[in-house]
Amino acid sequence: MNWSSISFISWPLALGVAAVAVPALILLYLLKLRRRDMEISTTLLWKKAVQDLQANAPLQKLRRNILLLLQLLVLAALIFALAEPVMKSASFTGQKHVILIDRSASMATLDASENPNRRETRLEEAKRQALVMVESLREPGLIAKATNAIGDEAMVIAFDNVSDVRQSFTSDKQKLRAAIESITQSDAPTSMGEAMRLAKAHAPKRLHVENNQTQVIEGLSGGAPIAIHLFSDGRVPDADAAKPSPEDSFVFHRIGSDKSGNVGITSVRAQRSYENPSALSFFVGLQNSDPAERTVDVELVVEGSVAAIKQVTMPGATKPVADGAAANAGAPAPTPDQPQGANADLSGDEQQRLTADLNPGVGGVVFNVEREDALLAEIRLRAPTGSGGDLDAFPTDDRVYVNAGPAKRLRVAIVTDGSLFLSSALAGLPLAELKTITPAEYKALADKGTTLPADVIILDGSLPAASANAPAAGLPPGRYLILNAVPTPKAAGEQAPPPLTDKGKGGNATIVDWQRTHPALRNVGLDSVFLAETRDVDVRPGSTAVTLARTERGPAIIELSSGPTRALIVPFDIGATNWPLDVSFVVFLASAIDYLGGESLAGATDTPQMGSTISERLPAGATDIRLLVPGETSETTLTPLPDGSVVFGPVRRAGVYRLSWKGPAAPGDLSESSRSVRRVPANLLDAPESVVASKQTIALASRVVTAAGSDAFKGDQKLWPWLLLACALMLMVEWYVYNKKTHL
Amino acid sequence: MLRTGSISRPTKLEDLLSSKEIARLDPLDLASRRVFFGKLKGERRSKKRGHSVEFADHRQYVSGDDIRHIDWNIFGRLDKLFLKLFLEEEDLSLHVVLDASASSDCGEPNKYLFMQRCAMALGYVGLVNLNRVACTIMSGVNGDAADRGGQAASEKAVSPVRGLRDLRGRRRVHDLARFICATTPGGTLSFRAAAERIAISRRGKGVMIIFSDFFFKDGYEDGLRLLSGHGYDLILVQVLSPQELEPPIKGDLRLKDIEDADTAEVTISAPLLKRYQANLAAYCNKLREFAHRRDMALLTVKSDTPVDLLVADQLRRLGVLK
Repeated sequence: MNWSSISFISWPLALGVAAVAVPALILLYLLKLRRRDMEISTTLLWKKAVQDLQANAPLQKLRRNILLLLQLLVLAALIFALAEPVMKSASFTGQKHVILIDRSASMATLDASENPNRRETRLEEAKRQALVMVESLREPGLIAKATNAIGDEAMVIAFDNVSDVRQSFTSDKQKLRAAIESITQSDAPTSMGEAMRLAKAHAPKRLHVENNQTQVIEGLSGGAPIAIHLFSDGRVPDADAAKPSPEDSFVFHRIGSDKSGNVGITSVRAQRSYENPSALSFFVGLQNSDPAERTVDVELVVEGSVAAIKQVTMPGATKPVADGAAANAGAPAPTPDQPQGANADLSGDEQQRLTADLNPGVGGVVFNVEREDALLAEIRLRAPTGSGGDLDAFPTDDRVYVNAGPAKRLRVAIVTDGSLFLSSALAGLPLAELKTITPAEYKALADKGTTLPADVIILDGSLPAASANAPAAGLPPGRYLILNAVPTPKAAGEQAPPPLTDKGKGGNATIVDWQRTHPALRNVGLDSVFLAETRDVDVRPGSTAVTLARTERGPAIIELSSGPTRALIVPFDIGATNWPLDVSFVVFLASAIDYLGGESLAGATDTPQMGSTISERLPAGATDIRLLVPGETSETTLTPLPDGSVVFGPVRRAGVYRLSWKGPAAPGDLSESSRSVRRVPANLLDAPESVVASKQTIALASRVVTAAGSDAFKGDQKLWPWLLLACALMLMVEWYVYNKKTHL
Repeated sequence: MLRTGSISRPTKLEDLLSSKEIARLDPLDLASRRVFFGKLKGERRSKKRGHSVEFADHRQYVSGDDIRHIDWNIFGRLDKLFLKLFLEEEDLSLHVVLDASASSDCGEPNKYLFMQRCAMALGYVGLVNLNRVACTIMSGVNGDAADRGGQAASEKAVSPVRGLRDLRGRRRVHDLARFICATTPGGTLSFRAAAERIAISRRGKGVMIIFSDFFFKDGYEDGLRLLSGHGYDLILVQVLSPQELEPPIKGDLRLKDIEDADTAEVTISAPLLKRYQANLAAYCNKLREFAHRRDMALLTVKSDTPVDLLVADQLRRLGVLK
């Protein structure tokens, strides 16, 4: 027996009983008890006998009192039993259970309790039900082998859009309870696919034994079927990606109300006018999943002060198109698992209405303010003034944060021998300054060590000479749009191969693919661009160069970032294309300049989504970088990447993340207590997650599962601890009676 | 050991000795390990040289001696005249002493009743064999010893002994019985004071048999020394109840001394009982050693011993009776 593997589940109870019972027992033996009077012929010999034995000494009483010793042993056994000692052993296991607990944003909805005065989140209710389920797990009997009274095992997986195993398969209820209670609320959206894959990965594998060699058969599970328990509100967009094994059972424990409506913010964007950068607009997208029309107040709070309030009335959610065949087309025939929910007797139409989401009513509001400085704005929803109460039960999407960079017109310099296309296109842009110099003049400035005073430098067909200041890209620190050139030379002493290799001119080609979400290529259509003459460039994988657009021959537009240098490279000669004649050329120039010029400004207007990572480029020289997560009190130290950026993720909580460091602040950063501070907002902004009405069914890949009833598992409540307590009480009464010599 | 419950006190000879027991006592006679002078010519040999048929010794003839006792055999051998000396037949005194303190009124059978019956048996044997019999009862102070014969209670409180002396002949048997039955045990006995009073008032020499449990907190040594020093053949009969030998008690008790109300709080356990019995054995052994050193005979008996067995067997083996 491995004594070190013994642990006690209820040791506080045992300590409490010991603290009362043991002193009481000893006290009864030590206290001066009532004695019977007896007249004898003489006490002469008795006194001497007593003196000899020192019968009245307390220790003597204890020393020779076998009865006390026996009773103390019985009491010790009772106390240890009350502490519920458990020991790890290679014992028999019965059913395996997988407990999946949804911790996504919608589980923060405060509608889990039927009592309206008791506000409990769905996650709290899910954890509570999971704990009840853990208690219901069978424990092995005293004589497991003989009576086949084997115990169950369970594992705990928590998921939002990322899953993690909180506890692998175990029959230790203490560990399972701790794992469940450690699950915290996340503001990330839901994805169950990874959770199911994790569950299957931990399931026992089917083994093949041959010639004393054991081989795992991939794809097949071994052992008894597993019971998968999902504690969720059913708002799982990728439920059809979950494919449990055919022999495994799937029980859906629905949490929350299917009648909960919600008004939330699903999108937000801050943008300055191109013509008048001082004019800042906030575009706010709203969604109403309540069937009834809802009116809400939308507040714009700028740097803590309410700047504007607008009242918006949004239409209610509507039923989807009533096309039964179309609605059910492609869906697998429902084969509900486990106990049927209350809706088993509903008609198909009613069933469809319940399972299919209503189309939310959408709305929006725009706020316009005149602010030139960079700012952090908060947009929040409130119940209309005078209505009282909370807006709805899901507060996470009632508030978003957005950064707006400072109003600034960029200074652009063109290094060219003369380009009509460039000059014409740039002339129409709202720039603070547009300066054109020749390559010779540019070189002269560089030889003098003078930096060209521009936010963005457009290099048309020329590149600066290599110098000690130039990194591997051969470019001095700055922002560059390079046309008809490929920066390749290494700086002296560099060991790594260059990120780009110029292979010279190539044949004609068209642009076949580009990153449409890249800020420089947003709204840029390159379908019709024809390159009479390309330039073949090799981008080294893993380098600081990233291909943004490509032709069938290779990269067409490349982004290169290396430390303080960032460049967008169009290696081919634009004059040998029809691009300058396309409106997308001007749009590209404007977006590229905005993108490059905006990198020097703090506060991108895009906010990281839940579950993604925060990536921020800090000014050169930033040290002691720390991050404060919303809702936490202690900061996390971050280590910058080689390119000077810091990355943190995955982001799980909505709110404002505060990056602080020692060193210079970029425009838009704050300075507080000799440290620079940058605020990075993170919002939910997930339309499906904002529809919080819980679902009655979940459509998995191979089956449709209906929510189980409230009595899905009947647990075995242990009664023996009460019997032990009663035994201890009776023992104490027996001691008292014995010592009092009372005859009942 | 425990105080006897309600007990019917004897009032006459028939309550003390049954006719059967009396019949067994008739053939007995007192004896002594020593030979003492007797006042009257009884059926007892005496060291006093007299005119009996049993030769005792020789002494040289002097003028005036009776020539009938000249030992002519010695004259023939030594040519000198010597007289034969013969043992004188004399009577034997028997003095029975009873401990009538409260501690004697304990046990089942009652120790004092046992002592009374033994005393009566011995007194009967002495009287019917024409021996001089005396009986002394040592009473406790401030005890409830009451004289049914009429003595004042106040006199009883200060006098620890009561005696009846010079009884001789069968016709005094009932007197002895009445005297023995007249005393109820009680009170605390000072053995030394009682022994002193007995020693002072005792006359002559003889056999003294003391019936007691000898549980005297002030000790028995001084009293016995006083009694043995006056030439009496002292026989000690220690009477213990079966309960004193094997106490049938248990639990947590406050033991109270019946004589002086002294208390002892005990928790009866096997080791304590064992220790008590060891102490009792040591006490009795110490008494035995004391008695042996002073040429006293000691007999320890239980109160449930048949009286006739004690008298006819144990005392006879001890040499007290024949």
